[in-house]
Amino acid sequence: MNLRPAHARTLAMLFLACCLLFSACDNFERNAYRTLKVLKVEYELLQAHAAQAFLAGRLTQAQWDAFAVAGHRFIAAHTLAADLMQTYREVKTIKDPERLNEVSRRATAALAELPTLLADLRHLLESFETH
Amino acid sequence: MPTKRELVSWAELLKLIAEMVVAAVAHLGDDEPIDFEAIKIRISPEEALAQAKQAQPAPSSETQP
Repeated sequence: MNLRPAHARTLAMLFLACCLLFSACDNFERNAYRTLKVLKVEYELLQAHAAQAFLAGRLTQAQWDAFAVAGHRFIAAHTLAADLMQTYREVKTIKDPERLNEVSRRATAALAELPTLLADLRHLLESFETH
Repeated sequence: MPTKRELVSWAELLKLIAEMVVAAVAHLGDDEPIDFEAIKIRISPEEALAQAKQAQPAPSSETQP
């Protein structure tokens, strides 16, 4: 089987899109919660895999360092999205539609960015391990 | 002809994708209370590396004749 990184990346994107579409049947908070939870689990598996690959000698120090930088970027984006969703919940209780719309817009944008960041991270790891 | 290293890498990557799919499906269906603080990522790459090092089997000590 010859699964190129580009194909693997496409598969990853399709899978993440399916996850988001699946969760689109529920309300905004529940969708966001499921998306963040699934992405957390996927990221932690990817991170553990990268650490094991580094220890097994399949990644160089420079490659591990590059992965760690990208990993911190993903963690920061994930934390931002979770914080915005927490703010959304708080704003919802004070009945301020304008502020709620603004937070909702920002949270949606932050959530939409995450699957791409994770796919990029996986692509980076695949390129390190297969070249 | 792929090298042994490439085959190992692909096998590991395919295993990872399968694990990610299983984990994602397992976490999609639940209806637990929403807590955005609880689903933040707490393990940094450095901590993951330290954990992976700890999980490695200790090198076997040479026995004295």
